[in-house]
Formats: sequence, C-alpha cells, structure tokens
Amino acid sequence: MKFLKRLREKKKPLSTTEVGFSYSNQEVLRDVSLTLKEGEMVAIIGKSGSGKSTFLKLIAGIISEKHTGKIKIFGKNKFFNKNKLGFVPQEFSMIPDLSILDNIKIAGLTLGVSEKTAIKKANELMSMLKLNEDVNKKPNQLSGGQKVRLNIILSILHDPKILILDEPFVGLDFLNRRLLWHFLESMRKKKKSVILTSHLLTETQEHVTRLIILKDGQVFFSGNLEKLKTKLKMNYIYELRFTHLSKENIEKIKKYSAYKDLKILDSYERYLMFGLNTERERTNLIKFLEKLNLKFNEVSFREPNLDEIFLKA
Amino acid sequence: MKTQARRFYGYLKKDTMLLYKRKKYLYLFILLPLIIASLFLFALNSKDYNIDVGICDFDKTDISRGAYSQLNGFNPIILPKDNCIEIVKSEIRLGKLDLGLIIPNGFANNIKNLEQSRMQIYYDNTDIAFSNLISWKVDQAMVPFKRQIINNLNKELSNKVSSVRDGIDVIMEISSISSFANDKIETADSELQKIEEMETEFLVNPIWTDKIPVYEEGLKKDAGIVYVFPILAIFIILMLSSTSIIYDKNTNFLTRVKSSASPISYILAKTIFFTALVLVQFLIMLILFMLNGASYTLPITGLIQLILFVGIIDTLLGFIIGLIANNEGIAILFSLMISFPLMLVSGIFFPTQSLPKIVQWVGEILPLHYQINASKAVLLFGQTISNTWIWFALGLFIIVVWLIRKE
Repeated sequence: MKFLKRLREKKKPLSTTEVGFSYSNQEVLRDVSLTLKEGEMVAIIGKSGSGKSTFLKLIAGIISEKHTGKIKIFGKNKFFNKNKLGFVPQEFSMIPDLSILDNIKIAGLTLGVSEKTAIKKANELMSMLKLNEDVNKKPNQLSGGQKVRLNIILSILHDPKILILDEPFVGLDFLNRRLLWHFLESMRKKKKSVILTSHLLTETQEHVTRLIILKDGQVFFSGNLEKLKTKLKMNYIYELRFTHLSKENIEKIKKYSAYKDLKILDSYERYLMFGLNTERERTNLIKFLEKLNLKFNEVSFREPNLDEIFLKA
Repeated sequence: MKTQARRFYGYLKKDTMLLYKRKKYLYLFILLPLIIASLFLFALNSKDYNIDVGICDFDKTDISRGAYSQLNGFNPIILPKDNCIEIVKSEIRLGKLDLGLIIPNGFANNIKNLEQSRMQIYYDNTDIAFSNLISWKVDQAMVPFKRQIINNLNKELSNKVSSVRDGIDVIMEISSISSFANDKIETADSELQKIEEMETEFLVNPIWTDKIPVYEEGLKKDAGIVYVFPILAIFIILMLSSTSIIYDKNTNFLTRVKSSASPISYILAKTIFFTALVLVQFLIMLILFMLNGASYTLPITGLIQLILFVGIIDTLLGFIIGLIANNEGIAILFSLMISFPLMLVSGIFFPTQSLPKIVQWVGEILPLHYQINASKAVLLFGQTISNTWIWFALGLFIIVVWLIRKE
C-alpha cells in the first residue's frame, strides 16, 4: 500500500500538505494544501498580503526559512527536485551590464544546462514569445513587455516540468497579456504544470483550469468559477444608480442586506452594487427600495465576473 | 555532477565577465595596489608609546638601574642574567617583548671615569612602523638619564675647578713654595689633566646605544609586503565582494540562484573568484617590491595557504557585509568602517605600541593581525602556517549560507 501511495505521489508534479509559515510572529500561511496535476494551470488569487507570493516562494525555495507541512515535487522533497521547477520572479532577474545573449548563457549555466542548449532553448522560447530583438542588446534597452518576456525565458531555459510565475502580467498591455496567456496554454498542452498568481481575475478565469483563493493565509476556495459562484451564493450582479440617497437610507439598505444575506459589493455616492443569488432576491430588493420611496435606475443585472465574485470572497 | 560543474562554471564566468564590463571596478582593482603600495614606501611617524623592554643588567649597579628605571614611556622587565641576550632575542621574535636593553658589565665604572658607556638595544626590524622610529624613541627615552649624568658631571667639574682655584689661591698668598703648596699644585695639576683628557664623546653623549635588529638587516625592506598585502586585500576584497553580493541582490540573480540550486556552489564559486583576485593583487605587489630590491623565500605550500587564508576570509567577510547592507553605498561604507581601523591597528601606519592596551588587544583578535603574522611567517621566513583559520572560515561560511537563506 505504501508503495502504491509513493508511486501516486511521484506522479504528482507538486503537492503541498498543510504548509504553514510565520514571519516575525505573524502567521502568513496556515495549513495550505494543494495538488498540481500534470498539464494543469492553476491561479492563486487573493488580496495583497494574503500570502500568495509567499506560498510560491516557499515552493521555489526562495524563502528558505523553516515552514510547517510538506512541499513535494514529484513525490520528493523540493530540495532534491528543484531542477524540475522554473520560477519566474515578479521582479526582473537579469544582469543589466551583460547583453541578452550573455544573460541567456549565464542563466542557462545557473540552471544547469550548457550554453549551447540554453541558446537553442532561448531561440525557441523567443520565437514563441515573439521576442525578436538583437541578442547583443542589453536588457535595459528592451521595453517593459519585452523585459517581462525575457524574464520568463531566462527562468525556464532548463525546460522545467513545473512553471511557477509570480504576478507575470504586471505592467503588460492587453496584447502582451494575450501573448503570454497563449504561451502558457501551449506550455500546458506540452504537459507542463503551471501555477501563477495574478490580480487580473477576469482574464485569469478564462484561461486557468482551477482557481485557488487564499484568504488570510488559508485556502478559502479551490475549484472552477461555477463552483465558486455556488459556494458564494452569488449568481448575479445587480447595479443601481439612485436619484438621491441619504445616509439614513444607506443605513437602512445595509441593515436589509445583512438581514437577507445580500452582499453590497461596491458603493460610491449614489451608486450601489449588490451580489445576489436568485432573481427573487432582486424582486424583493426592489420592493424594499420602493417602500423607502427611493428613485433609481437599474444599471445592470447580469452574471458576475471573477473580480466581482472576488469582492464577495 | 555535470550540472553542478556547469553551475559552478556559470557563476565564475558571470563574475569574470562583470569585472571586464564594469570598467570602474577593473581600474580600481589594478590601480589601487599600485598606488597604495607606492605610497607605502614613504616613512611614517608616531606619538606616545607603551613599550615592554626586557632588561639584561650585567652591571647591577645603582647607575645601571638608574639607566632603565627612568626610561620615558617604557615598561622595563628585568630578566635573569643567565642566557639573557638569547632570551631577549627570542621573546622579541615571539612578539612578547618590544625591545631588549643590554647593559654590559663596567657600564657604571665608565661613567664614573667620565668615559662613554655603551648599551645594546635589540628590536624587531620586521615590525615596520616601530623599527623606523626605534633610534629616535630610545634616545628620547634616555634623555632624563643622560641629563642627570651631565648634571653630575657639571657638579664634579665645578668641584674640580674649585679645587684648582684653591691651589692657585694658596700660591698667590704664599711667597715661598712650601711642601704643602707643592702638594696643592700637584693635585690641581692632576685634576686639570683629567679635565684636559676628558673624552669629547662622553661630553657629547655619555651613553651610546647600539641598535641591533633581531633579524637580518635586509629583512626590513622585504617586510613591507607583509603588511601591505593583507591590508590591501582586506580593503579591496571587502568592497568588491560585498558590492558583488549587492549587485546580485539588486539584479535578482540571487533569487535565480535560490530558486535553481542550493547557495553553496554559488558561494564557493564567488569565493574562488575573489581569492583569484587576491592572488593577482599579491603578484602585482610582489613584483613591485622585488623591483625595489626585496627578496623573498617563496615556499609554494606556504604561499597557497597564505593566499587561501587571506582570500577566503576577506571574501566571506565581504559577503556578510553585502548580505547585511541594503545597497552598494552602504556596503562600501561598511567595508571602509572595518578595513580602516584594522589598518590602523595593524602596525604599519602607527606602531601598535603607541596604541592603548585595549586597542592593541582588539587588534590582536582581528583577522588582519593573523594575516600579517602569516605573511611574515611565509614570505620572510619561508614557513608554512597553521590551518586553524579554516575553522574560522567555516564559521563565516555557515553565517553566509544562513544569511543567504534568510535573505
């Protein structure tokens, strides 16, 4: 039995069991368990300070201070299988005084591959990521988007089985983001497992196979968008703009929402956004607002996107 | 293994390429040893002292005791007569005594006879700053005693002149020369003769001190590198290695290292790189000193030990600075803060004897002190050095690994 269990473990690219981490007496992560399957693309989302980056850095060994729980890569302690990981840090990790070509050579050697292999792999990745720049240029001569792409290339020259990307879309325009998503999907098709963090929730939901929401250092949710909607009882977004809205009425609406388990996701001056589970809740809410003699326009009643669901989470 | 070797080669190659690309560092690396080693060839000066002097008093008279009890700023340590000179030399070589003062038999008698007396001063001619000042300092210390002797002589001369004056007075008063007067005249004549025959040397300098080095005379010229090499190494390597770590932090190269492998091969490769720089610096200085006429015994084992000792310890200290400091400016200030005091207590710019005891003690427990002693042992006396420094290096290495993991 133990043998079978071990064999199963070996097939899992990444598994974490009850990982906990504290820094300066502050608990950053608590009992974070996660399994990443082959060819799976998982996004970890959460508010700033929820522990997303810390979790990825623990997996990649960037944070090497003591943590509780286990992190295994293909069934082995992460220390013994580090070469199967490709960690793309949020900050650019390139040597500004050396050319792109020299950066590729050094990064390749650092990752344990020969200069020749690194150049060959870099050419392949540069073509996939449409980075057709002169390799004799220095990294500082590249644009922000090009730097992000080079940063990714330099981190995966050893053709890792698992790609870990910490906020890879920061500072990228729409076209560059699309390009990067296509690239990650092609990696996934090549049976690579991808785990990333992102704040671009709506865009992320379209591409990943699974979402993991971290809240106060704990896994709040793990699954797809539909499952999340069910969990949060939020199938609709209802947006209203009032002609006039007094502080007194706002308090009344808040009390009503709390009583009926409705969530006010956003409010600004005379605008309110509700997260609703059923159409009936909308009808009841309208009746209540009419009782208060409030005049309003319905801005929208629609399905929520991930950003809006995240507001409720 | 192949993968490890590639990583290792990658780290080495990266720093070599950076040295070439970052021209300021390259210039600094070549120019500093040339400038500082050239500056070193100028003489130095000093102030107050706290000097332990071993005394071999073969005369054992009140006058001989007076010679060493009044020495300004010296701390006399009376040694037994038996085999005294050999003990003095050996204690100086071991660094337990700063000087040896030999007072020969007949020292007091010579002074009484108004003849110049001699003393021998033994000193360490490889202790650069101190030996440069020893003649001046010893003579300075002897001034009170010499003044006392000259005062005594003055009194004696006054007595003798007064005695002659008495004789002449008698002759002047008595018309016929009696036998009494004849005796007086003879005494006066004898005293005058003594004054006439008095040594000019005695009047100029009643006590002559011979300064005798405990090592061959030529060693003093050769000894320069013994100080300059470890000092310059600590000065430059602290700065280069600490800023190199800052650079790797700023460019997130350290993040890449941590995510791809254990930091041990990274630290090892960097340590070897900077130790190689130490070797190059050493060779530059060695050539410069040899062109200036110095000659050295160059034992291969001892030299390798020395270069590794200086290179590894200084590099690891630099890494610690780099890992503690937030940016290059701070790292440089840190390095200066450590290397300058080390230089001051090293005995090259100021004789260590001129420093307060507590500072001397602190200086002795710092690595530069051991590096200078090791350089002296290897370069001047062709010896090998003890490998106990490896434990110190291991301790520093563990601290560096811990700091990188904590980074």
